[in-house]
Amino acid sequence: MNVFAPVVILILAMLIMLLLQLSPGVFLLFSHYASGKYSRRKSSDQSLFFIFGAEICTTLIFLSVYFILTALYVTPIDFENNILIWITAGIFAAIGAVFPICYFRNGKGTKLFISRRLAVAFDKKASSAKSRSDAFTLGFISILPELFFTLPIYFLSSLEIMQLGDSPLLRGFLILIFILIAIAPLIATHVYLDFGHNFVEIAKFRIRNKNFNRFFISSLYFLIAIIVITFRIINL
Amino acid sequence: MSTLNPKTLTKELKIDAKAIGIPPGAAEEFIKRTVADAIAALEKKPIVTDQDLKKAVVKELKKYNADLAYVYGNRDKII
Repeated sequence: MNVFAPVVILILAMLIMLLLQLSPGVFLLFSHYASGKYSRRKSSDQSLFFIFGAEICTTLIFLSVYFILTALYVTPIDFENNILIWITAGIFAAIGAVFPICYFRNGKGTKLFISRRLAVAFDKKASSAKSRSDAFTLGFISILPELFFTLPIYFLSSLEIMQLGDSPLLRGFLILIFILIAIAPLIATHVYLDFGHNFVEIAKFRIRNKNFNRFFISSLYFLIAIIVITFRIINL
Repeated sequence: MSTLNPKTLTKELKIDAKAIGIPPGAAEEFIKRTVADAIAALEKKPIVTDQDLKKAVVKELKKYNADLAYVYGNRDKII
């Protein structure tokens, strides 16, 4: 079994998940408002529920995709003749091409591709969240608008995990790692804020790295498309 | 999310100030002055937009605390 392609694709997919900005952005706003309104303990508690919500949403989506694919492909997948793999490679290349243009809006700050109405709704919800359930809901829904960029990743990662062997333990471990990596930016932001750093430092860090993020993520999408074409479709 | 209501504006700024670790006593004092000065600066304008208010508040806040001015001016540019 050739493990090179699945392992590289999974690593690149995890890297993309680490660098996407919407959920960490909403989390930053939420933590900022919570620490401005409540005690340190309560705001930290609510932040954890936000992370929990994001984790649950990511897990549900990933597992849904994974189980749908395991139900569809009981026998080993014939990548060379599978139209879905062709489409997936095309989608990755297309996202790689549009990412630098559409993920971040032009202008100051790190405004993202979501509609301004949705951004204001997230801001309002973040500022008015009062309970753990509000935090959980906000964390949960903050994952959804980015599905356009993440769904192909979930799809391909599930396929590649299926290629790495039949062991349920190995598959479960890889899925767990993938899901933990997907919410790692939220945990990192939470820890960073807990150590006494504030909104300003993180916001400036995001702005400084905006262009790097834009082109790095785009190239990761392209790289995945190239690997899929080379090792899955052409099958070198 | 900016507002023309001085009370709401003051409340928002106090939340921002607490979040970035400005002592509440000092924050209350300069936020009160900031809001008063910003509203005074806009009084002559026939039409005041959210952006006008934001610019005026940021300009006044910069005199007291650059970080708070940054937060107020850039909060809506995060996502």
